[in-house]
Amino acid sequence: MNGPPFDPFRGVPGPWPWLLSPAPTPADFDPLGPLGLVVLLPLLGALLAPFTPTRFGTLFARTSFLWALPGALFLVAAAWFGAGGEPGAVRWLERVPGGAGLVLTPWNLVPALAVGIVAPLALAIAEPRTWEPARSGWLLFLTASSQAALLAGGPELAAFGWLGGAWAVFFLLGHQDAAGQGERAVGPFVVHATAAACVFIAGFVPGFAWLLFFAGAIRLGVVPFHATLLRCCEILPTGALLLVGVAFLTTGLRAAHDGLAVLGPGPARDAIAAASAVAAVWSGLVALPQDDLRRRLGGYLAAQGAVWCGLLALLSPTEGRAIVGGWALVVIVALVALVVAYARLWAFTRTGDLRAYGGLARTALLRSALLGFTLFTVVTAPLLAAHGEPLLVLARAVILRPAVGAGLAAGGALGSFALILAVYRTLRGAPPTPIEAPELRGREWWFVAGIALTLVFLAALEPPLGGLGGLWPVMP
Amino acid sequence: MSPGRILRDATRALFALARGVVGVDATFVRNPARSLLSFGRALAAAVARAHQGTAQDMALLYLAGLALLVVGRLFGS
Repeated sequence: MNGPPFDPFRGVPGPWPWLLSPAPTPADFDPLGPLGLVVLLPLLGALLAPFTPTRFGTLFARTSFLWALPGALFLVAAAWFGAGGEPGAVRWLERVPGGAGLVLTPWNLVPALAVGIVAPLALAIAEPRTWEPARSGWLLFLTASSQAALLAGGPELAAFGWLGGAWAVFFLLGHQDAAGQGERAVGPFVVHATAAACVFIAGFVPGFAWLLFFAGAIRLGVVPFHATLLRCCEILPTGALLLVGVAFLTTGLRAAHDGLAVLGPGPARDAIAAASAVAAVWSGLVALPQDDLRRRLGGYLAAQGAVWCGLLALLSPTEGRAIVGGWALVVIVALVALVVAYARLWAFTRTGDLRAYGGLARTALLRSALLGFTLFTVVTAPLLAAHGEPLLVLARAVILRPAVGAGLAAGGALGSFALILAVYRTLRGAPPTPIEAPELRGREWWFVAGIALTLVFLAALEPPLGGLGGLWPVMP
Repeated sequence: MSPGRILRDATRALFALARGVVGVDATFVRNPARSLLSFGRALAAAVARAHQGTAQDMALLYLAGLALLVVGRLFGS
């Protein structure tokens, strides 16, 4: 199932341009400008968080989304004006103090845009414990590190970005896990720090570049690392769940893609495809009986991650980027809509236990409609993305490699089924407890309007980003 | 048997299988992970106990690791 010959420059751009593509010379880089805002402004906000006086703590937390907003607006503008460029031809390069560089191209624009748009939303979403500056600070740090990992012009900054993400998750988990005194944060930190070490080694020693796949598998929560993802989804604050979901999905997928591209076709990739099929089925089955809605979501994401790794192993790097990337973007839209719909309920009940929810279709029609949109997107994701190519590829895999293809399809279906059942349980029956203001209100309308506007904006973009590779119908 | 009954039985069987997988998952995936973590902690404690030097010595150890990476980069590929 290999397509056209692989062009390294087009196939592995962005964070690791030194490995397989001609490195930009120092003269290519402009001085620090608006691209730097994407990384440095949230970082500045994160550094200021510990020094905020207590009486201004709530104000800082309430306005913390403003630190991420300029970067998001710049990325939106970059998408609008740079979408029509030839891939690889248009690049925005800026020098960062300390010798590193940031690179924005149509290749890494989409994941950076996804993280950039989601970051202000994650900082402003309803939480069980409202407006804590420490949480906002670490969310800003996670935004900065994720963007650094995506926009890095060299392997050093990319590795720093990955390590920063591991630290942010460690502190966000520890911040939530008061009962366990942060004990439950140690395991995920060790695993994600290992992923960062893999990126560091891969960037430094070309012979070990395949370790990028290992790092990507960790971030995507592919078996045997699914327990980490499930725990993160269960414990993290709602905003962090949203941001980690999007940031780890984009960075992980990118690393997995690049690692497999370096590996090249051969028995190793075939073995990875087979292992991914087993991992997908395993994750889907693990997701099914989970009592916690957030763990179900984690199981769904883990199953999807395994399916994507399998498809990336089966397809050529150029094919895989468009097909898997488009599918992942549809899942990101579904994830954002799901978390926005559940955020206020989680904030009120303070639990993800499925028994705490029910009867939403009777009491909150608009919120139920948002959840219905999520279900529709989850079910039709392979059909919506990249003009239905993922579904065709899965069907082709089932015919040509029955064991692997059937495993991938079954794993993806099981993960989706687990999530759909959980949402269905929230909608049906009678409400078990009176839920405070279950209908959409206030800020939530802004979030929903933002999602709708983003989708319209994506649809209006010129090719090759138009509709983000078939994520949404392109406007005539 | 009606299609509804078949569907219900199939779903029950699927959930029974899934619960079994979760049990196996706990035994073969989470427990080894916990053991690995404990092993890592024990190793870290042993290194801390065995190490009698200063912070500079530890920094030298890290630098030695980096030097290995440099050797790998120069001669590895």
